[in-house]
Amino acid sequence: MKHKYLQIILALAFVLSCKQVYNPPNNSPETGYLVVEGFISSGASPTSITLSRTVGLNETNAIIYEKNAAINIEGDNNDNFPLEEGVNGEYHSQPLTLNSTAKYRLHIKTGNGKEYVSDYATVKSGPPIDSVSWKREDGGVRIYINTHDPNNNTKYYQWRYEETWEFYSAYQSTLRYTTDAQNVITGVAYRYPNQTADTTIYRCWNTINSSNINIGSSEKLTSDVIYLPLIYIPGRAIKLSYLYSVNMRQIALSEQAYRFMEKMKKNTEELGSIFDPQPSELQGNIHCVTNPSEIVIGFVEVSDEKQKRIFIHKDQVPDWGYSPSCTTVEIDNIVDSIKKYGSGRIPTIAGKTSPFGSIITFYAADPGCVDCTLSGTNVKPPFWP
Amino acid sequence: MDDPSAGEIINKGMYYPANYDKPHDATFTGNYRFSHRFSVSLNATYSTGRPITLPIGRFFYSGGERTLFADRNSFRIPDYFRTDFSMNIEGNHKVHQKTHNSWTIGVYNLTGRKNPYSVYFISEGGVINGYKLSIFGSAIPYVNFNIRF
Repeated sequence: MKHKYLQIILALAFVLSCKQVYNPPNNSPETGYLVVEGFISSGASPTSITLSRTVGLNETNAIIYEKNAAINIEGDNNDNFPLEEGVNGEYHSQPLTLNSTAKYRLHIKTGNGKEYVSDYATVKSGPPIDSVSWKREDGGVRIYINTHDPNNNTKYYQWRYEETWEFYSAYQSTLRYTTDAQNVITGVAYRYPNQTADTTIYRCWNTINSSNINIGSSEKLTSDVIYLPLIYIPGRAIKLSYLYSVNMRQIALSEQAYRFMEKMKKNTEELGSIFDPQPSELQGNIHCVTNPSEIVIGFVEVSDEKQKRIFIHKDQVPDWGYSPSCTTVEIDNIVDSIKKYGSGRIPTIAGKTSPFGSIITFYAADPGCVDCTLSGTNVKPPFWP
Repeated sequence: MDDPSAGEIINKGMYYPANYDKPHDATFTGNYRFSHRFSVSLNATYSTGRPITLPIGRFFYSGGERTLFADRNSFRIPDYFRTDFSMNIEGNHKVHQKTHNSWTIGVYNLTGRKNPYSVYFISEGGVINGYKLSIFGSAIPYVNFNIRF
């Protein structure tokens, strides 16, 4: 009985509570604040800086890139390297020869005439990646980064990575639909006279970039040694269905840049529980010269990116258990049957054939099970073995 | 505020309202006794909404979409206002009895104002939407039977 009353009270509180849309007063300016991402590369790789703008909460549009800006890398020794504009708000340079004793900064002049500068930063070169290792954990694979600085003065690191994997369609397709002049299906036929499969839709590659902030620090350790898990691939994932590769890219950060990234990570990736930290404002090292009170997001430093690529083959992860949820249906090679069962599917292989070689029945499957280019690309990446 | 011993600096080292900062907080309580057996009371509470830190925009950084927050506690949730009204009906006033009983009939939140209990933001279909949740968002009548002994 006690519980019944409790339930009634709870139900009553629930009924009486109500949720309404709340529109916060918006003080983000129409054009948004400038967002600067990237670092000045002191190594062999070119510098790449991306400019974009913040958008309001209730705007559905994706990223607004900042075009027609002029960016220069300026040194306190009067070095000056202009950056060239590419697509999607990206500005790049050739590999630079920087003076390791000088300090460098970014000077941005946007299309609307405002000028921004970053603080002068020293050239940091950070140690190379010792190794990228992996372990079977909880049925999946966890990938670790190992690095150390023998001089004990890097301490703050950030990683970005690109994952690439090779995968195959569940079924090969030797058949195609034949159509008449009005594009109406008239039957099936072999794609090639020698009845081989279409290889352009069977073997594919997919690439994704890291979308989390991956930072690490050895500030609390006596020596500058890093061993951190960065990626987890859950068991049976398609990533390890054949061959998987990850290219790890490491840069050294200053303590201020590390705190900036840490704050951004806390503000945007670690909210949503009961004892959340209060979101705090981000303070980068870029300032608007024209209007000093304007908010600018970003932290630009001079660093040398170190890379390491590893491969994991499916034979190295026995019992991985990837299985595509794909089935085929057998269809009579008659226009009416094809119309009823075959539309929206792609024919795979012939079923029953007559003694003279004509197709009586054939198999068909969902497009995603036959055409791998729907979820990837059939262009082999240049680094692929 | 470039002092390295200052620790983490909040709001660029400038003043900001505390979480429990309510500059205006007024409560009116009125009782009127019509007779020995009937009285009414009215209670009205008003307070400024407490400060919160609001997200004001989105941006793309380090491969993912991020939220831009305004200065610490630079916004306030809507003001709080509530009125309660009740009538008290006493039974007989005989001195020697086991219990003294009375009835109270009243309405909680007479104006039915939807006072926000919390304001929160969730991401729905790639868009961040704000909601305010109010508990007792309508007028709630009640009847009490009081026993004094």
